[in-house]
Amino acid sequence: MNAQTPASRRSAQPDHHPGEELIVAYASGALDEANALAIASHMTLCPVCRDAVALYETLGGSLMDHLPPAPLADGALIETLARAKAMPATSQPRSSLAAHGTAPLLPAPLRHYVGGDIDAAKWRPLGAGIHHMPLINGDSVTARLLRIGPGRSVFDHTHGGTELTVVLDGSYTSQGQHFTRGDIEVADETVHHRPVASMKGACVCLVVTDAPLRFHSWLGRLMQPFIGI
Amino acid sequence: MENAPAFSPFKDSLDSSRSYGTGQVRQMAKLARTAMRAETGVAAQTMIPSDAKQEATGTGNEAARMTTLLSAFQAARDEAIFAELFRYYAPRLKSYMRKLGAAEDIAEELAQEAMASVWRKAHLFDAGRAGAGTWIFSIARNLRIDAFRRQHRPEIDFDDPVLVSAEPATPEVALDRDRQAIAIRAALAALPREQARIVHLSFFEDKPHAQIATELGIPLGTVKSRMRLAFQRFRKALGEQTS
Ligand SMILES: [Zn+2]
Repeated sequence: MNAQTPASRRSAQPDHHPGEELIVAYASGALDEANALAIASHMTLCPVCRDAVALYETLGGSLMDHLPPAPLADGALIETLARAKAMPATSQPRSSLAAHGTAPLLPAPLRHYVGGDIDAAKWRPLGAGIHHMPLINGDSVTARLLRIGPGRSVFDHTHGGTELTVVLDGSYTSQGQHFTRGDIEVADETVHHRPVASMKGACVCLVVTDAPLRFHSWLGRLMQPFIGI
Repeated sequence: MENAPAFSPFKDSLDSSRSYGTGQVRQMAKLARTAMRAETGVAAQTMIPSDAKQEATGTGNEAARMTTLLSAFQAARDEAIFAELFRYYAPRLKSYMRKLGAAEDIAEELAQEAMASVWRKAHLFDAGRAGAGTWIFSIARNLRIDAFRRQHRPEIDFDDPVLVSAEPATPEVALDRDRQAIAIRAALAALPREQARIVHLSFFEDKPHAQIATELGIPLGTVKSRMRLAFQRFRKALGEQTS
């Protein structure tokens, strides 16, 4: 099914993973939508984490299996059957997406929010060679696509909470580490985060921020109202 | 999956002292609070199956039988087969919803809705990827995220052309799903009580949205190290079960 994937995108397995707590939280359903989007995007590009989620889903199934059964009301089966038959079966073929000629850049869970692949992204300029597209604006958690121009960097910032960054295209360097397609970086309030995109091309990432960013440069502070977070 | 080192990509997070999102923090804090209450004997009763080891084989057979039944239903869409799946899963689904805080009538409603989804989505079930119990758990989980939080659940698409595949699995690694479930059960039974409780709570406690204040008093480092330890030991026990 990956036969048509261009070689340039048939990347190796990622080196940077989210960590067990986030995997468990995703599998159990405890994670909020924006963070779950980051994990699902990483998982699409990471067979190891896919296996880990499958493992914890199996654990979840096993735990549910052993709960003391709670009896249902009389007639529940009849009601359920009526309910099931009243709705049409979800009938989209399982391989509807695989039919496309060339492989998209964005993982399916992200295409759902962008409304298509990367060429459907509605970029808004933030200045300094950076563009973004907000995807989820929750109470305290936001998810957006970020495009950092070649050699450009995101303003130096720290986080009130946690920031997850999933690389989708290009690469960046942060804290002396290199992040490429599929890699996920977990940065918390102790990290002075200043990702620098590779000179080779723009870097596109999904960024999930769990509390407003705090910028340290005057330019960053100036930009904050435009970012609207 | 042969033993714990197969999951080593997590070792850097196990060793580090990073923290995670506020959601995580809240949830972990809640776990810790409950675990701490547990130590002083005040915790709400959480089911810790001490006899899960003996039970494991029998339940494993039951789980395998349910997977066979679901596959049969997928092929035939027979009401009698569905009724049997319903008798087994509906009360467990209701129990799951109750544990996560749904009131009696809501839990009943969600259990029925989950089973109706089983009917409607049966053609999507892939016995090669998950057993019936795992698949139905994921339906229930997504349903309650939708019902409790009104949020969409971002899910992977296994037919996504973007999907990066693993090396072809060796026969030992491709342990069949139902046997994996048995191993998981036994690994859970091998955990010390405290850790088993943390594992249970991470599946049966929903993240409360408005309780940060209450939870700020918890030493986060302790919480995180306990949670890591619990899942580390779970992985290790699983490695011992399947090696
Ligand atoms: Zn991974």
